[in-house]
Amino acid sequence: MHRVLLFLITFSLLTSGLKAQTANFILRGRVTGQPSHESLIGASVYLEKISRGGSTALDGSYSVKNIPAGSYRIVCTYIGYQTKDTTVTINANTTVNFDLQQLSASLNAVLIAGKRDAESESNAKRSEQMSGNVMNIVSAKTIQLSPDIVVANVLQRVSGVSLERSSSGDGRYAIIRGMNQRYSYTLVNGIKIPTTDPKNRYVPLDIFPAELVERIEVSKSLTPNMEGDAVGGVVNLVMKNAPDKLYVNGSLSTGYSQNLFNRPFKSFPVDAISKSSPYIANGPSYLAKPGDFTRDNLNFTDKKFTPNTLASLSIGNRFFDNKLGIMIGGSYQNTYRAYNSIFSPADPVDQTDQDLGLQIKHANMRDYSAHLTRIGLNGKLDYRIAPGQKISLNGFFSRLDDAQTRLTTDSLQVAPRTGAGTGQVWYYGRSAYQRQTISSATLLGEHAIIPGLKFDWTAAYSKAKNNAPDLAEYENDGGYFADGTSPTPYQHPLKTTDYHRIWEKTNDRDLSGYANLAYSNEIKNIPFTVTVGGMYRDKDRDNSYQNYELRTVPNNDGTFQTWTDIYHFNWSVFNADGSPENSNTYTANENIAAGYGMLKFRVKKLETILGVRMENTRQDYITQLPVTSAGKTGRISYEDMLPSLHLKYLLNDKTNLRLSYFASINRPGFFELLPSGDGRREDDFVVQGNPYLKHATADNLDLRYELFPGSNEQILIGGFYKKITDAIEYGFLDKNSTVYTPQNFGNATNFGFELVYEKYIRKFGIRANYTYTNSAITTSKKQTVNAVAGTIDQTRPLQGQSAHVANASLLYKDTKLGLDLQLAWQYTGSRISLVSAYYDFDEWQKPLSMFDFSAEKKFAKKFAVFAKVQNLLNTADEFYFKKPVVNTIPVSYQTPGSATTMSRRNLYGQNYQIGLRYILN
Amino acid sequence: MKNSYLKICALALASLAVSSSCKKSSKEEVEISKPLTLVGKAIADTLLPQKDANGNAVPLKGTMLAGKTYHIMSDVSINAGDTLYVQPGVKVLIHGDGKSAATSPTIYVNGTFVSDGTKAAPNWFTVFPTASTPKSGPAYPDNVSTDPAYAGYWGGFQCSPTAKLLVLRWSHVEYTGGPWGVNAPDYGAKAGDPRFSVFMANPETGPRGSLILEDSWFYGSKDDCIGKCQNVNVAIMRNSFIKNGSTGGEGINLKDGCIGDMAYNLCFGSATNGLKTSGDVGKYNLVNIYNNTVVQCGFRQTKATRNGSINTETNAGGFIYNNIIVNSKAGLRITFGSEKGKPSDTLNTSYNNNLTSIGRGTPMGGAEQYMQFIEPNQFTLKKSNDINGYVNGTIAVNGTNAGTNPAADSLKYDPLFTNYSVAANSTGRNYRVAEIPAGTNFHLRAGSPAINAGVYPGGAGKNAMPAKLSAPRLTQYGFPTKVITTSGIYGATVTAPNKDLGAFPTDGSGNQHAY
Repeated sequence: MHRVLLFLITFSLLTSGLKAQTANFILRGRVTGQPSHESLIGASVYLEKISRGGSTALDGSYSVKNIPAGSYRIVCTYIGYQTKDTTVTINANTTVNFDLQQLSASLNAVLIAGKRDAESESNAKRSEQMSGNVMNIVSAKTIQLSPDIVVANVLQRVSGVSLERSSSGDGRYAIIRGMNQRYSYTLVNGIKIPTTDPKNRYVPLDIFPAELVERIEVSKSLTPNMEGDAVGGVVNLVMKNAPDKLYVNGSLSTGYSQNLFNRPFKSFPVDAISKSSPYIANGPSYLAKPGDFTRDNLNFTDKKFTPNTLASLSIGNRFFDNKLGIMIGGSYQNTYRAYNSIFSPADPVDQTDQDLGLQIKHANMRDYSAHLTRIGLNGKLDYRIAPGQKISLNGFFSRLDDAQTRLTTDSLQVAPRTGAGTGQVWYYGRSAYQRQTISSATLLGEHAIIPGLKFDWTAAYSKAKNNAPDLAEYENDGGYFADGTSPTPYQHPLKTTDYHRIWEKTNDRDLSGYANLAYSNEIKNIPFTVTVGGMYRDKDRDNSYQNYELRTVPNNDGTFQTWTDIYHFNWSVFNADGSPENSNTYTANENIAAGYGMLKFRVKKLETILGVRMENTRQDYITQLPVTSAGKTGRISYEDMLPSLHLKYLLNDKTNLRLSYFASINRPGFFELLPSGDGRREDDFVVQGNPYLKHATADNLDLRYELFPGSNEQILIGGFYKKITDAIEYGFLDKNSTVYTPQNFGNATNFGFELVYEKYIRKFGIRANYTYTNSAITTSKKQTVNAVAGTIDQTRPLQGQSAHVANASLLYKDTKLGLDLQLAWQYTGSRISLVSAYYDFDEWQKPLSMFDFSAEKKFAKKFAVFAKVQNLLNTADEFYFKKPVVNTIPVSYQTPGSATTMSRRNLYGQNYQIGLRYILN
Repeated sequence: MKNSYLKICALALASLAVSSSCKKSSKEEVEISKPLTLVGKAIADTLLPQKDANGNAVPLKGTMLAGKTYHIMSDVSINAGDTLYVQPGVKVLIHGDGKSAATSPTIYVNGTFVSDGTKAAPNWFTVFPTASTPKSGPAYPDNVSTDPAYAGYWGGFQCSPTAKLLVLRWSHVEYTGGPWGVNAPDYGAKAGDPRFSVFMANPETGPRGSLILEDSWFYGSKDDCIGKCQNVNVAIMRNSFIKNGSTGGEGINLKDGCIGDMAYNLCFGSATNGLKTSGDVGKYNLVNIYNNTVVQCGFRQTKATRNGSINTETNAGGFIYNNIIVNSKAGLRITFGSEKGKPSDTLNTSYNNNLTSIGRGTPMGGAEQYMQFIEPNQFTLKKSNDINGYVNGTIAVNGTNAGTNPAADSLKYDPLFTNYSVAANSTGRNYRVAEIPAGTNFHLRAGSPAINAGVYPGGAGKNAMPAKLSAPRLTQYGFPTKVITTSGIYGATVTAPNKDLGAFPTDGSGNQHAY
């Protein structure tokens, strides 16, 4: 490791005679940090004699006006850096520059140990520059100043990262370089954590409150010491570490959703939900009765005033001669959202002499009301036993409760509809409640054994729970249309309809151990580090799923039952024993054993990391299918050897050139291996697994040019190429178009480039990045002409991949006034949201351009008020098919004559937040 | 001499004339021996299934013996490649209560199943009745919630993709349905889905299986009776479908890839349609529907836009002739669009010579339902030889027609069944009755407009067998179709169209059931 211990104060004195006649002069200059000499923002420059000073702006510059001539002692301080002072005689306008030295030693190449200043933006940038691989880092200060309240939304500001949003418009999964979320994994404090998502392996990032995070690292290339199952990249959430001295950061804020000014929040009582299904509550032989199903949770009432509450508090300090460091933090977010969505799924119909036409049968208008409660807790404790010997204990807990009401009006677009305002109409009311919890405890040790030889180890226990009890949606239908009863349209009474209720529960448990041994030395002036290590993880899953079909009971005279409300709905239980033994009630286990060897050395200006990783995967599952069914149990194992090479050439101290290659894999998740799914229809298809799914392997090449022309400017240009063998993508089974399952669609390629530009001019700053990605995969699609089915190859981008992803932020920082303003823009280009089994029937998402705004003003030294506005322009999130509708009767919500068909349109509305923050150190 | 000779001749001629005028030959008694079907492996145990050492049910294989009564206590199966043959005169009682999948035994067919009943010795597959699992009957004319016919006491015949042949001949299949259980995915279903009385779906590619249902009685099913069969050759001839579907479901519902004929069936009191065919996008269905009698169907389906007698949709085609539809929710529908359906294959559809009679064409209002000759705004037209009251409207560019159903035509076009009054059975709530009233006879009385109104081989003019040379699949498969094996125990006995309409023509052929 390279250690530069230079003490340097550079100052220059420039005199100017122009203002010699005035008694007062101006002191200006720039504060930078070693060794990269990047600008330090918010550093304090203080003139003791006149008790005045200034702080540095975004470009690191400062100025102090109205200084009478004289000799002054100037003190420059910045958190995490050694305080510098100098004495200067001022008798003209003067420039004094400071280049501060960091308190701690230089950074480790890959993982940066916690430091007091680790939350700062400049440190983040420096870590990026110093990192051995391709990495982007978002600091806590950036997070704090950003308009975002959850981790996922912060991530979209990183170059090459776009988001897969939940229905509420919050980002949920990161799409790195246009690769579906399945190609990335998430770490918390460097440890892989299990997911609350029963169907996928990736972790929903909207569960993590942003306030507890010290730093988010996005690695776009893998070194041998990192787990090998990422193709797009790795997201590491580093929770706040123990500080060097007392640290307090608390905030309290409130907010409102614009849509809730316009309409009431539709709420249902969460405590009315039976948390266990009749099957779980009463045992397997129990036959459910109609009265076992609650009604209150399907009675939706208006809630008039629903302000949001967000609070966070982090406290840390160091004790016993700085040997013991503690950081604890908590975050609470209670938010209400309302949004609406149009949903009109495509229905292919045969046509004469041409390919299938797109018909819309159902046009749904859905009103959502979502009540989200997030609780996050973070605790970190480190103890330095002796120099070079450190033990740490990390723990975190995160919980997201999501109570969502969805009221739907569904208008049938075909017969008996004869025109606008006529036809059959369904009314749905759905209550969905979900509690997701992730908790983890980690014990780490770092030991310097002999000079140059270091050993570190980690033992981690993590648990992820997902409980979604009693998903229920009632349905009734009526409408205004003609039938045999009347040749002119008339209003039909509402009829009750069969419906179902579902309980699903997922528990994931990870036990992992990591150990690394690193030896550093020098041979013939060539510094090198050899690292060997290994890891083992035992992952356990149990999943339980129950579905009850409830059928409407006809009146005694055999006529249909009309709908008044949920309390007057008389139903019978069709499958009184639930769905006792299904393949979605299962246990599964995954063991990963991995070992690696890695050599890092530097010859002159070329730094090389070279190594190989072996990963052994064993997966097995047992479903509750009967022994006579195929795929009741499964066992899959494979081994991958993953070489990698990372080259970093320091062209000069302002320029890096990086080239890296790494091999990686992508494993199917548990659900993806099950022989059949839950059969539950999401929208208009069911999702199920595929036990014959193979894991994907990938070759990844990265080239990146990094230029730091001045301390206030940064330019990164990178290119990447990826080849994925046996790429896993969801598609519809050939049998019919209603089963959506993961399949190996052959080989995919993915290449592109990214640009990052940052520039700071005094109080203004601009950050922008742009990523172009081109991916291609060719799959066989169904094509039907004159009702004769055939297949045809279609080449398309990977699911979820946008060609263009861009971000830009405009920053204003007045350190003197303590004012920060940020306007952020995020652009995600057109991409495929759903792959269809039919040629030209893929659903695309329209380009999405979103603006967010945030402001913070400090006062009374330790306080700040802040405001955030998300989705400033209430941008519509739209999805479409690249085909016109063939319906002969005009279709609701569609633009007549359009060459495309709108499939979904979500309007999330603006969200406002205003709050108060207290910061000590 | 000459005189006497002449006299004798005259006498002889006279007596010849007399005797010929009152000539009557007794019905020919023909007894040509059938080949003896030897018993391969007799199933002697009458308590089924037997269990192996691990407690797994031993699959059935061999012959169920005439005269025996078998008791099925839990699920039984036939392995792929194996055959279970049921001799005439076998009674199979299933011990089930319909309350859960586990307590509603099912016959799973992975190979070949032949129930070879005869008119004299039919076979029975019915519930073992107990106090808590009573049978249905005339006491339950229109009682959806309480009628045991819809209890789904046992799971019916469920064929997996490896099943190659299912024959139900002169067999009673009663009280089927209920939810799917553990092995649902093997049959393309999921736990909790409704089971049909008979389900057979082969893979889209590969050899096709055959579904042969002849002269059998299907009484009481919770949902579809013959449900959602795919990619099989069918011959569904001369059966009775009674009380099928509680609040939804069809008598027969054939999906994509089915090719064959449905003829001479009686459907009485089906929840939705008596007979329905539907392909899928890019996948056709070609089943001829002829000489069926559909009565009082469609009134328990609570969902709008479902038809209620004979319905084709989504790429389904075929010859549809000689059917009689009486007092049903609506007559024949060749679908253009509905909530479930997409356009029928109109090119490969040919229909005419059908009779529809309704007792209540006037709007009734309130909860009372109504009847229509034809649902407007679909493809269906009143054709030249159709007998019904529909008035064709203008035909839109998309091929649909906005016709009308004159209320004044109610009670007209009565097919004059031997014992069934269109008027009496449509008054009050009688149209909803799903149990055939005792003594009902669907044969045709003299003077019936259905007599001599059908197409038949050898017929001329309006009775000529139809042909549609522009329709490739109609031409390829013919009328009746020629795809299914038509001889022996493992084949079908196909009855050609009759000069009379309906399942009970005046010549005594067709459906042989009496009620």
